[in-house]
Amino acid sequence: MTYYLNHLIRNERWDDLIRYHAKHERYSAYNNICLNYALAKKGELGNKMFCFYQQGLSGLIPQADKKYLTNMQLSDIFIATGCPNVAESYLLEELTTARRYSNPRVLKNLIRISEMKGEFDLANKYLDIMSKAPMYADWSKKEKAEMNSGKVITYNVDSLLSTTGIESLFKNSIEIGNRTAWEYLGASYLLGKENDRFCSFIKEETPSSYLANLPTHFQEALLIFCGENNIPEGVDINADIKNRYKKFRELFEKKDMSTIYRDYKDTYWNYAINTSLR
Amino acid sequence: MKTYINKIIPICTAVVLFSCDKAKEPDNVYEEVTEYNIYPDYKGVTIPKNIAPLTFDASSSSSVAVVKSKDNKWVIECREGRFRPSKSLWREITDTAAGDSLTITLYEEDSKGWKRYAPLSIYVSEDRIDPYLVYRKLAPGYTLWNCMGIYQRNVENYDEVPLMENKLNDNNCMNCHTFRLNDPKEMIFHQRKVHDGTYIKRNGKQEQLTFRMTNGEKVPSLTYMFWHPSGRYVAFSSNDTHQNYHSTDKNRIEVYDSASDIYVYDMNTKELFTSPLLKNDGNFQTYPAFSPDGKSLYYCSAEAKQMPEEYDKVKYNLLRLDFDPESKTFGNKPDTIYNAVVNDGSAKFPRISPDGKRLMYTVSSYGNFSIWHRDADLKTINLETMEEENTDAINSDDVDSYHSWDSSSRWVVIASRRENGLYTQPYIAHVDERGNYGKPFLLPQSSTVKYKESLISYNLPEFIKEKVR
Repeated sequence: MTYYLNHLIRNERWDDLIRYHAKHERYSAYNNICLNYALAKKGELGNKMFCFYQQGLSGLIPQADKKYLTNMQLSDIFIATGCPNVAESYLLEELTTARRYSNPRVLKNLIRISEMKGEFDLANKYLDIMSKAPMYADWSKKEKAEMNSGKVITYNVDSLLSTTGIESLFKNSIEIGNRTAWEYLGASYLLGKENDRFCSFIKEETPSSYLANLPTHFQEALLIFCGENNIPEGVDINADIKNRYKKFRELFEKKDMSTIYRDYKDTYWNYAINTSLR
Repeated sequence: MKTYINKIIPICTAVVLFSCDKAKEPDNVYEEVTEYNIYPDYKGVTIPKNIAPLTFDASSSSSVAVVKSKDNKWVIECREGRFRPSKSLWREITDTAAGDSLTITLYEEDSKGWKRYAPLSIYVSEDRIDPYLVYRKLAPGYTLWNCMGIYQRNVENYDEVPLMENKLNDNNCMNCHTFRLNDPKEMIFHQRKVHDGTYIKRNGKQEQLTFRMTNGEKVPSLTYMFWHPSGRYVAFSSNDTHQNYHSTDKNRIEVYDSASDIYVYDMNTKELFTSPLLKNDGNFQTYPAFSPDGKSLYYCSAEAKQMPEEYDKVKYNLLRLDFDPESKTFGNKPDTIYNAVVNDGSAKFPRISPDGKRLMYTVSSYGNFSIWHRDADLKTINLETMEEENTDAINSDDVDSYHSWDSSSRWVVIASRRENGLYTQPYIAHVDERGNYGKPFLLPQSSTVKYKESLISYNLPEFIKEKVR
């Protein structure tokens, strides 16, 4: 299964990956990370993540364990969230331990990172190596032709990771307009049920252009974290979500948990009351 | 009889093939090409006459190279555009051209005829280079390692043999190989993790060094080292080193010390001794190096800062302290060779040429681990005039860091990341008597694509006068 998921990610078959998880009630943290990554790649993390089984922060970003699959997951997530140096660190470790110091998937990610950083000489080196692999020759040629067209990311802030953490990394990326980083950071607060931090994330870290159309689960969370009357300024809660929340509250006050579980399985509210954090 | 024929036929075939391989200088040239690149870039470099054949890629199709010295001319066929002269022919060329320039004119053939590339010039110096270069090869991972080894490369040909590979010692980490005055008979290196310790190979015998402090204190863990020319002493630094990732900076990681001191080890007594100037809480001291006469200890020293918070405020001065090898005593006051405050930079890796005339060191804007600092450049001070020499010719826009002199003081090897910003490669540069620096050239390889296809770094290159046996 692990390798099947890995195959889907490698081939960017996000819909297949999401469909696969829709059929399952429970799955491993590895699956959960792959699913959330696929949702993020589709721009649907904040809209759909709680339509699926979620198991807390361990299902969003893996703990580094120096293993190949984890290193690949971490590099994928950190590339998507605009943190090339951190992503590269996992890949260079992977390349160090790979047989004959090479692995096409690692190299592919290293090429993406080098392009993001504007290190085209390095990207070219990796592409030249990839072009020798029969299965990647065409891909390398195409990538080389398009290489300089991508936007090089420039950051305003730098810090050493020991003095900060992932949270500040994502904040740097949000500052330069990376929406995936913003969704991942918001999702991490929701999974950790961090009410206050989520509210201040919406108030302080969210670009104003996002506020009028927040992802579904972020709107759901604001209703229970801030209350209907204290929604942060600029945020527009969808009328359907408000109505649904009203009914949810009635059921919750009646302690009708089985109906909640049946009818509100696809909401953050269900996660908030039915999932205990380990 | 059958076996005999089987052997003879391929030999005869080869003889016929090679006999037919005599290339001629093309005469029907229809186009002159002035702008072109070769890889590696050997245009305008200065090479020693005893260097291995330079090989490079010039074009994608078959071509011919005409090599001219003052009085001679050689025509070499370049299959698939690769300039790869035989070792014997190259030796003939460099012996003939020594002390003068040679030119290489490339011709490329297509359907219309021949295109001629503007001649490229290479100066062949009469100064011989030490025949062996020792380096560590490893992938540039941050915390993990896998296959790793210390190798000696014959720079007069392409032979590379391992001195030590970690497949022989439980995949261990090994580092900081260092020789006394480029002498292969005396070498020290460290091993980490399993079988950890400092090992010495001396006159064919190998042993693990044991240490004790003269004052009875706990022996610190020892890191960077440098031999005293007498062979009796080795200077060590003891570094509390850490590593951390930059979130977004062009420099990927930061390697820094939160404490460091310098000790000198006496081989006779197995004792480490130091001085308050080399070991104190107010400063970080590192990268010791003795002068060739053994009377001075050069080292780097920075005001201690709160680490890692103030990592970019640590700037190392380059200092010189008197050392009396007879009495094992140090001077009372160091001379400042490079002032970090005045120059707003940070110095590391002092290396004095064996003739004692030049001090080469690395400077970057802060810190001490310059291989991860993209602004790292090499500087040189003429120790007779104490004036800085112009080293622009040997520096690049990317990392130019660890360096080592050959025993003649005419050649220096530089660990540089100029090609792609990540994989360290050994470049060799000529330095003449007056302090003129030649354009560095990449250590030649038999295959023109060896570096391009390699995902390893060449770490800590050190010249030696003979092969380690």
